[in-house]
Amino acid sequence: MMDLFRPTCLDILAVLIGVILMDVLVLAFVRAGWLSNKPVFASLSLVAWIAMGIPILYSLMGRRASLPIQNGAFFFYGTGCLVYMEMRSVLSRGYSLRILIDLRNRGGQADVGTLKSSYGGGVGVSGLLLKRLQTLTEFRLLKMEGGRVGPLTPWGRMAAATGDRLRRLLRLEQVG
Amino acid sequence: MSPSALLTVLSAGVLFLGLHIVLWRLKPSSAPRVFQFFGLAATCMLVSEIVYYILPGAKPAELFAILGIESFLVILYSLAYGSLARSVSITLLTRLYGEGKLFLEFESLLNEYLSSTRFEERVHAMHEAGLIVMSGDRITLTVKGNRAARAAQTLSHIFSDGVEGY
Repeated sequence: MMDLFRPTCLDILAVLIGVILMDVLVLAFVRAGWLSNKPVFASLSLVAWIAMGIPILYSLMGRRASLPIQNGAFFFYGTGCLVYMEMRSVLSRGYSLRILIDLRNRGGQADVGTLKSSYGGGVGVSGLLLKRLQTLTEFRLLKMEGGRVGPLTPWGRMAAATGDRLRRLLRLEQVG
Repeated sequence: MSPSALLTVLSAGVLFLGLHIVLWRLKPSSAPRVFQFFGLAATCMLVSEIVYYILPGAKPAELFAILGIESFLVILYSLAYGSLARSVSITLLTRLYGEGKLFLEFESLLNEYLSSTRFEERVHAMHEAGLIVMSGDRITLTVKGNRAARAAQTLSHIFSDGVEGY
């Protein structure tokens, strides 16, 4: 049985490592200023590497893998890519992680009020909210003008209604 | 893939979703309950593998495919659940949804957010995870918390531009 799965698992791992290495290389080039530093560029480049990995995975498996094995490999590869994308997102935008780092930068001790006001290396919770609102505006989910936030666009209302109903369904009351 | 394999995936999905909703509704909490979430998912996946294996005509190769599809679906669903359980953006959207076609002043939105216990909830979750120690209003990083923060900083310099957190 292991003879059936092990080579496929190694193929998936090899392609995943390849995708991650290429992504890290692109990020290093972006940081060095050799490539565009727009966030959308980094995201599109990652999607392109992931897409390129699919035919490579199939060619690695070749004829030795049956159709169910190929299907399984495709989904395991997708799972690995999703985990990597989520890890990257958490490392960049993680709220709780940032609190932890702020605390570490303050010598490991602080009170809640200080952490709130100095959140995110000094931008505070207001900076966090502003950034999130700006992102929502960029995605055309709401309108923002000066200090006025709202109203929501039709897409924004749809997203908000869905989020609200699902949170109620799971009884996630005090979250976010 | 055989119809029985697809049916197994579908049944496991329905079982997982049903149990997730029932358990979360029975015991509401503001904690994300990551371990319970993945524990439930792993249990449902295991059950589906066993059920498929005892079905007549089961093929070992399809067990691999079932596991692959279910892993993908669980991770996809966990991303959606993570957003629901933790997203500040969804909180802002739902707050504005309550205002209908009106707008809110940023200052009032900020004061509302600051006066809620959302920030403290996160701090409390970190305390429960053993990353910090709370003594009244004072917070102290534990050794485990210090290691986690250092690891996050190192990894974030490789995979992004540092933990911005916003």
